[in-house]
Amino acid sequence: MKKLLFLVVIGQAAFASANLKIVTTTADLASIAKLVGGKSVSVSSIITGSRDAHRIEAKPSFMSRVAGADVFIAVGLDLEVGYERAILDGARNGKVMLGQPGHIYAADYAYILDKPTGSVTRAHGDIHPGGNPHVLLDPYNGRRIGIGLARKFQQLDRANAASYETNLKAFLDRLDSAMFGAAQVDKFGSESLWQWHNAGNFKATMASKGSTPGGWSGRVGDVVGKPVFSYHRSFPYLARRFGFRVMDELEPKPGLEPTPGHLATLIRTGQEQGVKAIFQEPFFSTKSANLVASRIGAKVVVLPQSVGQAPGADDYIKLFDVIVQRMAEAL
Amino acid sequence: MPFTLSSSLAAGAFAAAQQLIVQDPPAPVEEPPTPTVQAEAPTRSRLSDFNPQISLVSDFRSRFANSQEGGEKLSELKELELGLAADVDPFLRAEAYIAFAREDGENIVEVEEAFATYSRLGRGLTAKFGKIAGAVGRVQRNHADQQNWLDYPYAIQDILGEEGLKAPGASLSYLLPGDRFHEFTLEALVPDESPIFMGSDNGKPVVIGHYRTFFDFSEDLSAQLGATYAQGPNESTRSTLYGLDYTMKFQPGSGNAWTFEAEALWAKPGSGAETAFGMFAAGTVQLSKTLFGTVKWDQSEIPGTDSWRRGWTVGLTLRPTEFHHWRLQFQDMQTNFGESRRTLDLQFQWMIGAHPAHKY
Repeated sequence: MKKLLFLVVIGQAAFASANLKIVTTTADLASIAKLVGGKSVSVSSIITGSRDAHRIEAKPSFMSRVAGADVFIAVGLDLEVGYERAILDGARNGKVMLGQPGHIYAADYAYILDKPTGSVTRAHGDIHPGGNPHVLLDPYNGRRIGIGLARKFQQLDRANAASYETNLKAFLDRLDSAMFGAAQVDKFGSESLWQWHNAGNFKATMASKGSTPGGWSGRVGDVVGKPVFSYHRSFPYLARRFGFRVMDELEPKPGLEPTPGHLATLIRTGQEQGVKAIFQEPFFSTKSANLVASRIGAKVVVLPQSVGQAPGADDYIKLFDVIVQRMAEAL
Repeated sequence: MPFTLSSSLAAGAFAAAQQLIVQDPPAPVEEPPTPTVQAEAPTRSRLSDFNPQISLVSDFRSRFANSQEGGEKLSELKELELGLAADVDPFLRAEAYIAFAREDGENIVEVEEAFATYSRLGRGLTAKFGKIAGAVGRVQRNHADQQNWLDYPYAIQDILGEEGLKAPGASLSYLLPGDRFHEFTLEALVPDESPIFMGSDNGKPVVIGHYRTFFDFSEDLSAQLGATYAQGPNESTRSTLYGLDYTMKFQPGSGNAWTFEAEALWAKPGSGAETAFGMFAAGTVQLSKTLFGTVKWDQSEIPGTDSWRRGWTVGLTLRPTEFHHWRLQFQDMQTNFGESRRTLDLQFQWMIGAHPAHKY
């Protein structure tokens, strides 16, 4: 009987250590997958460093990596439309083809902004018919995606379901504490805090309860309502979460180079509206932003879009540490 | 007992998390952004989702040449390429590319490619059936809108055909397992006409084998190396073809990219015949976000003859978006069988619809 029990325990242990091999498109997705998957998964992203996730070429090496994957995670909303299908077809991996359980669009778990309600043409520039794909720049979406990924991993790797649950709880605890402050989470609970924040009455509710915001929500108190420009339409989710207002983009339309006429308009708008910062993605030239900033007395603030795009942005939560610090210093 | 406890904890957390997932999107912190596009009819049939992805590529050119052989017409709509692609069912994907072109002053319609691919065979295999671009080198398998110059290199035109080797047949491709990319392709094609392979209509196919591997030297620098072997009928005898292709790309996250691409072909049109050699080497540099400069060297010997041609090409491409470009190209061609010429071409190319992703 003892021998049988020993074999069962060994068998369970062997099964429980079975890994999911995960390949993601972006580094922030890889970070969330790693935080939620823990030791039960191996994760890599095909986009590393400061690269524009819209403009990646389907390199054959990506195909080889996806060929051996159990799970492929993309952001979706056509962010990867230029290369995802070519990578999947080249990988010839039935487990991660579109529509298979191993293929995940993270945006399916997120709330979506900028969703066009009418016809869409390329006259609007590099527009995304399903909505703005920069969903991960709201930590609330990162939270929802983390939960969604944990559920998926539990379906695909039942032996490690409890481990994914533990990792998810740790991820949510860390994210919530970073967003609101550990003391505030202990006092009010993360559900209430997110509810107030989503409803737009967070600060007032906290004040009515004799408390002050902590974490990122406390550090960015001064950015609420401040007008800014951005280079590309990357920041609607970040703006919605932290309350600054993106007055316009340096790109006249998504994906197009800034034009002299458009920059002149921005200079007028910036002077009229008192724009104090231009939020800039790290992979675009700062030449146009510097020009506009010098004319309107604003700062150019390079904000990382994803993990690994700035010193210290080593995982999804540290990414926001960097973003919040840079925003708070600029505004 | 601990198992039960952890299970119930997990179940509780699962239920709580499920509530998180199903809750409505968050209420706005501020007013929702104004929709970027005007609204129209709120509902439409989703049956249109089953329509194929359609693309159209237009290639309009103006040519200025210093000889009569440089071109028949100053300006012309060189080609319209219609592309259709869709999943046939969960197993099969079909693609077709139909060209409406001008050739020798006449309008023609030609099916450039029309094939269906099984990508889910498993074990790293894909199978393709239909009219396909043969797995010879790299450049002739890419569509014209992906080239960094106007026409196919001399070596491809003179050895494989003006539009490369595109023929009906079957293709089986195998991707080796592992992190390093190694791909083997085996094909049997029956071309109607090709300078090196002729007489395939007797039922004997051209057999092509291609191998390619890929190197990631760094995040920014990568290269692909390929080798080709092909054998097929050439009237009463058999032709043999060997090829090497090499592509290197520098693609930084920000800053200017460059590409080097080169191919060499050795073609022996039957036993006893001299081996014809053709090659090209080209470099393309991104000069600004939208401007690209290209320099290319071409040379080829025409199989079964003593004829050869070679020349330089210099081009400048303005690409405001990935969907259209203007290209100015100067070419100086020397030959021993006709009039050498210098040509200056202006190309205006645009693309609408859902064109498939460009290959490496």
